[in-house]
Amino acid sequence: MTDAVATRPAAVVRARHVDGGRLLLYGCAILITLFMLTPVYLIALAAFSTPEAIFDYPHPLVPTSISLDNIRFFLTFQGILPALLRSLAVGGLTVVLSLVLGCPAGYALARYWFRGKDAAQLVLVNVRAIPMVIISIPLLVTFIEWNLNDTVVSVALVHAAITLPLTILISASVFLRVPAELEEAAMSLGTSKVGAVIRVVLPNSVPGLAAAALFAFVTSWNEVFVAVILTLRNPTLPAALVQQLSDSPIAFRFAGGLCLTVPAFVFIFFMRPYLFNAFGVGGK
Amino acid sequence: MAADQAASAAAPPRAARRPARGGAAARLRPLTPYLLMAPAMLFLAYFLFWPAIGAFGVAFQTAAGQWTFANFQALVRDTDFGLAVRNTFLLLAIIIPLEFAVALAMAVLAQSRLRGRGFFLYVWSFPLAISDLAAGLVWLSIFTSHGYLNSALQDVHVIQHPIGFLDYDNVPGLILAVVLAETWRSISLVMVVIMSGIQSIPTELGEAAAILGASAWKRFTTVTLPLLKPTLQVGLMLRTTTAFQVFAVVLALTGSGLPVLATKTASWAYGARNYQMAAAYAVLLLMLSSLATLAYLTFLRTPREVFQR
Amino acid sequence: MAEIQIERITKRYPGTVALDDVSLTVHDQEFMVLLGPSGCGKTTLLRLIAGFEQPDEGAILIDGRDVTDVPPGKRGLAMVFQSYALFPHLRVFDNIAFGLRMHHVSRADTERRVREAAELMQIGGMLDRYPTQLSGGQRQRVAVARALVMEPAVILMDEPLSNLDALLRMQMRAELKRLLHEARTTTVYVTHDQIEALSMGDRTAVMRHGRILQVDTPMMVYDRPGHVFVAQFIGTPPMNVLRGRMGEREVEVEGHVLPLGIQDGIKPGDDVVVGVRAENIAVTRERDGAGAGAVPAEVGVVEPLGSHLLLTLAVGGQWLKVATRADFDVKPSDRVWLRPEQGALRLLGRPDEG
Repeated sequence: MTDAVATRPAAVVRARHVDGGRLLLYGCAILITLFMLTPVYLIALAAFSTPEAIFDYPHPLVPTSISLDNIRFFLTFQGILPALLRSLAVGGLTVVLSLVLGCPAGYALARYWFRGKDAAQLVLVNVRAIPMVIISIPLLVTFIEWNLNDTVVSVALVHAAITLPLTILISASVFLRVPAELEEAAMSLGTSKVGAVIRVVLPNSVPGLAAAALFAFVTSWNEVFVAVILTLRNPTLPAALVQQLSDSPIAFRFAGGLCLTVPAFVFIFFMRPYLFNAFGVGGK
Repeated sequence: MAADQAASAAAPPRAARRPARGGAAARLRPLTPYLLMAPAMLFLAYFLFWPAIGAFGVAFQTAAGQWTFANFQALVRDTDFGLAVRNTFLLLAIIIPLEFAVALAMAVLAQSRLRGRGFFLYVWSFPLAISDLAAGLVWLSIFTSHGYLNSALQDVHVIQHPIGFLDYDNVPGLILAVVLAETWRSISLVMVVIMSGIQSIPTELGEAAAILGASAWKRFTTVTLPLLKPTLQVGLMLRTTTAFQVFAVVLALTGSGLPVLATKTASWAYGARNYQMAAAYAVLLLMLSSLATLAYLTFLRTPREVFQR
Repeated sequence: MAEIQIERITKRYPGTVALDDVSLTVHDQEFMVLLGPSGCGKTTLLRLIAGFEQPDEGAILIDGRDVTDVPPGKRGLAMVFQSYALFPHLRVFDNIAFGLRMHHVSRADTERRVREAAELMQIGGMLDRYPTQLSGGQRQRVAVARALVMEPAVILMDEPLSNLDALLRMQMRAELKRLLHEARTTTVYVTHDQIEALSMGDRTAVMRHGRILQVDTPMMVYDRPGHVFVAQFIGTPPMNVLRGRMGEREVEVEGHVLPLGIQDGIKPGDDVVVGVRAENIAVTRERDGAGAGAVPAEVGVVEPLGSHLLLTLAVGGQWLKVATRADFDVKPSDRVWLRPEQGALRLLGRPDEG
């Protein structure tokens, strides 16, 4: 006995109705988004307003006049452009050091099992618990002794140390995604182990390593405390801003804030797939 | 048959039969992972661990090198010491619960099937890449006496004259500004941590609970939250440690109006060049963070049986 | 009465139609099996009945009540998941008690009912343990206990036995069938295993590509498949499917004529596909022993399966399998004679009905 498909009246088409619960969820999501975006909008507003408008009160919340004067003033202020260049140099050096030291270690974690591996991973994850505050003083003393004080190199060394654990963990997960069989196939075709790594693993790891590099760069770019402690006459951009903080006109600070913020958008856009990995937690 | 047996009897034991390839290289092979890890670990040891230990040394010595408690005695008698400790703990006590509650909501929202999830997630992740200094400056434009908050309030006629949120002696105002700026800056990180925790909870558990009659809220409290405990533990340890070090946000918003432990450390090192005092503050900071971490480890433990495989 | 009516359900996902105008009635206390290969829509249909997803078109009625907009917890259902979905942070007792507590059952009643359910599933001694401390089979029992303790009108099961090893699976099959029959619960059971479907269900709905091809008792689905796919999906080995041409009262396959009744929608002269089961074909070495109407075939492969031989044979350009006694003396390339048992040949339809 089979069920015949009875000729029933036309099927009920269901409207995708939005009930109260979903409305509440959307409302919360929008509120939070406003909370996140509004300050950025406002500082852009402040940075781009004319110097006179800064002192307008109450501020209009919609731009009435756009001016690049503040930005220009900020960038040409004495010491800012050199500080910016120094930040770039420190960032670049940090990335190089971080990758050169970190990739081999990441490879070791990805491909080998060895005694102490679990301990090493535990250490790497927990290193960020060491306060920057506590290491900067002795390092300052050390760098003074070495005559490296107040240099780009000294800051870069510390930044490299700060970003190294994350670089190692990210590169490890990147290398894990390149199957070991590829290396073995290359070696069976005649290359050495090192050759296999260079010809097979590295080309396939470029996106992930680029993400690690980007992350290291931005961490270094944003880092404030160590930079402040370790520099005096040769500050990085954040350190220079801190130095000027109390004396500078308010427009200056707004422009500086904006300049520090802009890279964030670009960074997050490229880092999205690696975000979970980057913060040492598992998941997608 | 007999010939085979004789042959195998004559063959040397298996281990010795294979000649080692390439002498020295072969001997080094089991060392490879250690060799690969060594440069990085040594670098870390030198630039992170050693200085951390060194800070203790500096804190417990005089400038001349004698072991002493004098620095810590001077510490507690320092003018702003009490204020710095109080402010640091006050900020912590407000920021941490606030952040975790909102981040939990954000993580749940990001997991639900709302349209525009991708956009929300992108925007909500911005602050991950914003330095704390920039965050402080951003909120400065809002809280300064001729800033946007006062402008908005005055526009809608809630106030007649600007409120001095950031006035030197307006401690509640200063705290409010720092709390908002710090929360805004670091909530993304907490959200990411919680999200990864939520994603490791199988969706079927929620469905099973739903079919057994649990409402959305009940599902959250009886299934999601308990299973999030390990993640929350990790997140709290991480965030508390970094919260103790809050520095640039305070500096940008309050100048020296709201002393905290990190700004005291910096001013002793940078301003007064008194490295002993600075190190003493740093050591105190580390001790407090460690105590907090220990507390989390103790009170947020999950019984082993729940997660063993 | 816990009758389930699925009325013209359509469910679409981006790029695919998971369920296409599907209708089905599950009678009160019936054990209905949704059977099909992965991707056929059986799990989607189950999840729609459960309430985890909403259909794009159509309605679902339980007990005459339209539950399409009713949330999962309020449909009077219980469910056993493929992965069991036990709460890892709760002990077995609290897992089973979960639903009762959500419905505010008194503490005394909860205690009593949980213990009874545990005894029924023979896990009474494990109430204090955590799920991670149990074996797969024990966890499965907890999952079933958690569902049964709710005394539901309808129970849904999503491949509950697929994670068990073969021996355990056989034991649980019989036990589940007995339990559900005694509990008088309407059951909807999803599986891709046709042996489970045939052994457990009162009726089976065979599904493919989002449609139900046939709903019938196990014997009817096995013996009288209405569709080529059903014929080949049910039974081990699959039913032989042969192409031929329909006559007035017979069918011609590879030049040989076999008696076969005609059906609606087929006219003499049409190309058709017919089916016959491997065990319903007699095979002999001599033509005389085969009787009239025997078909010659050449042996391709001989597979000894212990209790019988499975022969793969060529008839003209087509292949079929025949099961015969284990001591039949035959080897590849031998010529043999086949004769389908009377009435065993089935008309399955036209060749183009995918």
